Amino acid sequence: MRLLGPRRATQDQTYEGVVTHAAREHRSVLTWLALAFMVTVPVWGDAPLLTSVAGLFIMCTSAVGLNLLVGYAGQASLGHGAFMAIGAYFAAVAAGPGHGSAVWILPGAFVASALVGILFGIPSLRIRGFYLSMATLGAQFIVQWLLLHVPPRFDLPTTMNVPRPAFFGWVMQGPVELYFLALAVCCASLGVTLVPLRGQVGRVLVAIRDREAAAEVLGINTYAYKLGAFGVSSGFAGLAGALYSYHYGVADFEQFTLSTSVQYLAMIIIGGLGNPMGPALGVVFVALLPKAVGGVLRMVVAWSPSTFPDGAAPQTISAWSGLLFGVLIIAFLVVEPGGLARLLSRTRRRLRAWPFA
Amino acid sequence: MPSAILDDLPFFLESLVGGLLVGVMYALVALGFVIIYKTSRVINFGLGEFMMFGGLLVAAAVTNHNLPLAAAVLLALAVMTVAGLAIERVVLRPLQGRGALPILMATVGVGMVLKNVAMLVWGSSSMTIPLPLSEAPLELGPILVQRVPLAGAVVSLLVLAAYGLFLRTPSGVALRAVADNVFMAQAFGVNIRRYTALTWATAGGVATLGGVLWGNMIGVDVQMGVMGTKVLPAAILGGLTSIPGAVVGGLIMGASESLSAAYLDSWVGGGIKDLVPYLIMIVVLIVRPTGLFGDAAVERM
Repeated sequence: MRLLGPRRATQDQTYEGVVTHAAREHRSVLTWLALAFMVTVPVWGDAPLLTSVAGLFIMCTSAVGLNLLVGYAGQASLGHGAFMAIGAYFAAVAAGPGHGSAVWILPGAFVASALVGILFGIPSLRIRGFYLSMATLGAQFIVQWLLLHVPPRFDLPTTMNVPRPAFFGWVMQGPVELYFLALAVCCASLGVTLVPLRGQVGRVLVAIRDREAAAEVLGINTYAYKLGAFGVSSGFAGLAGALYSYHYGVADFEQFTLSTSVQYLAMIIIGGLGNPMGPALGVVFVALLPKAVGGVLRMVVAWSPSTFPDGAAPQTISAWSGLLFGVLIIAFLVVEPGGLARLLSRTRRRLRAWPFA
Repeated sequence: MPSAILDDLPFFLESLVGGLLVGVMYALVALGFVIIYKTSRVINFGLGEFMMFGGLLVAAAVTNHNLPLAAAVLLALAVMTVAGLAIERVVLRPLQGRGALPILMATVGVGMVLKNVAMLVWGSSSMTIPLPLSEAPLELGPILVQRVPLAGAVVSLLVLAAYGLFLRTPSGVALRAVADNVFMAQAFGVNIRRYTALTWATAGGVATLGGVLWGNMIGVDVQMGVMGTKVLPAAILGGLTSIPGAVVGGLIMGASESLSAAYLDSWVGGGIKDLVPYLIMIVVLIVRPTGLFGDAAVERM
């Protein structure tokens, strides 16, 4: 089915979507550099750095899923945190007393979350926009409630310990192994989604996002694609949730609240909705923001300690970064809806033409 | 279950009345959602934070600056009305016509800003808003009713009635025209922007009143914003475009929370109160997205 234009499809209809040959080579060099950087972190980084970078990979995996649903298919979801929680609890319960085998636990977490995602995606067949976001908000609270109240029925704790993952009897003990697991899953999820989203599937999803009735007229089964988007998106969330539980050694529903869902939405908006690089950029930005705010506050306190007695307290830092986060969300929505990805590509183009234009 | 209800009628009535009183206060907050949705088709996810901010303003003015309660409430109303106007102008107007997700996230962002500003100004400790009312419950025949929720319910009803009356004034008629058909209203010379701004200002004021009433019942701190998501199911059940719907939705939600807590908690091990509104909301969204009294047009927006 080539109804929707040429095979090599990009997400933008504007000139920016056209990637020239030179730019593509340029980009692939950058990609390899970034990959080399990520692979060598265990060599020169210390354990805390390793853990936080691994956390970024996990967040990126989840954000990739949300970007597929929100950025491409245009279905607003406030329940992404809940779908991550399902993956985390699946990993905890499926491992049982032993180490379990991550070979089937990770795909299992994907499938379990995907099924729940499809279930809560059913209202999308009838409603959209704000009303759909309400349904996913309901999903968030209902899943959270169930995780708090169902495990005690089976004499299980509500916060479960999760053993280290094992592959064919080999148990991943150290942070380095977990780092590479997170890196591998993150790269795999980026790679697996990149190609279909650039091709026909991506075009179909964008058609549904931009004009659903027209997509239906073109013969697209919009229901199937919408439910599929919900399933795959929450599947990636579940995968990330399972990785999270390995990462911290616990499955805790308090890590996957409504504010988690909102945070992921903010990440992909800041990174660039419907842009393949958006999730990665957004995740890095959101992770670095509190650190930057903390650094600035510490400088301000060092400059004048008497004026800001509790200037660098953790609470103050989190309040300032929360404030800045809110302002940035609004600023990006109003000024640069394409997010960081668009901002970068625009800057690059301007730089290339710089002395002449 | 019916026999259980008959066996202990006063208990049933007390739960019901308690739930209905809470429900009227839900209705007041739901009105904040309806006012905005009706004219501009926007769900304001920052409404809970509006409430929190207004409530904290009143609490801080009363406890830290020793203002009389009435003056504090008037001050907070003025501040939040202006804040509503400013937010509409700076955030919402540039996003007009850009679809649900940008607007949703922008209102969430507004909520984040309000919450963290409150955090920086007043810290995270809980404050109280003292009302000149006694703690002793009121005896109405066989049942006992708490005075504070009753006062809250009375104020809520007054606000709802006042808003209903306002809709009959010339400005109110223009507002309803905008809500009914933006293009037609514009063709008849109604200034759309002015009325959209007006709704945000009104919502700011209504949210402040809600914040004062809820703050008086449960104390007010920066976490109060979650009340917004708690009340959304009531607004959806009633239909987001209907003011009577907000009242009925609020009452049904209040009553079903209270009754389910009274009769089902022992079966599920407590906390059913936090689940019921969302279950009802999901069912409403699937079966009848317009809610009980909403316009049919919103169904597939």
